Amino acid sequence: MVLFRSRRFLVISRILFLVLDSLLEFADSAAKDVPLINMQVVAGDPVYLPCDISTPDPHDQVLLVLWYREDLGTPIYSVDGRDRDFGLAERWSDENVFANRAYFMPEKQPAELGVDHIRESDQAVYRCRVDFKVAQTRNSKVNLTVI
Amino acid sequence: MYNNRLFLFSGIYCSRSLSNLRLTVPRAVRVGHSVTLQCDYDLEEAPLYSVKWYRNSDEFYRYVPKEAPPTRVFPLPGLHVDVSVSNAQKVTLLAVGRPLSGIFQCEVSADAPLFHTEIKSAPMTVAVVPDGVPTINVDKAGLERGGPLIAECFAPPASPAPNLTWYVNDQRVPGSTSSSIIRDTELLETANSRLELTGVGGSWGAIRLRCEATQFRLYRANSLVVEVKPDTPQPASVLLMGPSTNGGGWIIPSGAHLFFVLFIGAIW
Repeated sequence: MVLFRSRRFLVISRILFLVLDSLLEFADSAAKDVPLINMQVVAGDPVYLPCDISTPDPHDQVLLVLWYREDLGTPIYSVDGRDRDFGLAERWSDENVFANRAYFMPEKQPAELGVDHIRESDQAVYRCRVDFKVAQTRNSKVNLTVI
Repeated sequence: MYNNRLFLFSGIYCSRSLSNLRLTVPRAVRVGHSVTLQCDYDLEEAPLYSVKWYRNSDEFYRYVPKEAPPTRVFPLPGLHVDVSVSNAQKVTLLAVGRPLSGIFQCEVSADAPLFHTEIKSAPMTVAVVPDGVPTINVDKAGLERGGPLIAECFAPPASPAPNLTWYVNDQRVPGSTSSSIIRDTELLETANSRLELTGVGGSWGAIRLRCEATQFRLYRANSLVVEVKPDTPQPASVLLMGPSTNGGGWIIPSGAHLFFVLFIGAIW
């Protein structure tokens, strides 16, 4: 029991630390001009967050797609295709955010992260980072408002 | 599957995690000089996936240990990366050009499964430092008719324009750091600050004027001290009125009643 409490304390303090850290991070990131799209969605509806993964050079390839919620240091969704074809890439969704509500659709133009049953707590700025084998990393943001 | 992940998640979170990102970027660097940007972090045995450097939103250098070669550079105007001395913690830029000024950002990500990421950013300006010291012109022609004593300070062309500060009898004139700026064809800026001392006419002591120009921590220079003397000096007290935003006057310990107004131009 004591052990359980101390672990919980650790987790809570870690979350506080992350929140503080991310506030600074957000202030920092305001200065740069990553493309930002504003989207509104009604609570309960699905939403499709765009993320352009097209490669400028046909010989290049997408290695990894990371979705961040602006206030979390760890991606909330990742598509890891570094050691396999991107179509078979390993997908991971944070249990505490979208869990199994999210699914990445790389075949769409542009690619999209679909999220079902949007909740009010999903309102946030999301950043999509696309890592290519050769090309420059591409970042884009979606400011999601839940009505 | 997800349970497994969750277990990994908390395990790595508590013991092996990326933290404490420190970015060291000078606020300003002289054009043509070299500069090393430092990005330090604690991995606590978590594997490193990538270090990415951005200028504004453009990636210009990355270090990915699993890739061969691990470093990759992307062109930007005014950018020359010395790859031989750049690594996972630092990037050295040679002969920086003026277009490179902007917000510099270091983004570090740990490897799978969490890809924990930290980002820090800081501004860096590539500056052209003024060549020489600021100069003062004094016009006291109006004094005899009860007009103001006018002084103007010019700094040599620079980029960005240096801040100008007036000193009257070695006392800093508050709020006088702004100035009007004229841009020339090479996009160099000439800073100009105008000082008007009204109510000087009649009785006053000698006034020593000095103008100081500063540009970040790269440049600080003073004009020659210009001493303005009355034709028939008489003792009195001096009241300096600062700019209206200052809200009040302040006494300087030398003499005559002197009302003081600073004019800040805005010619762009």
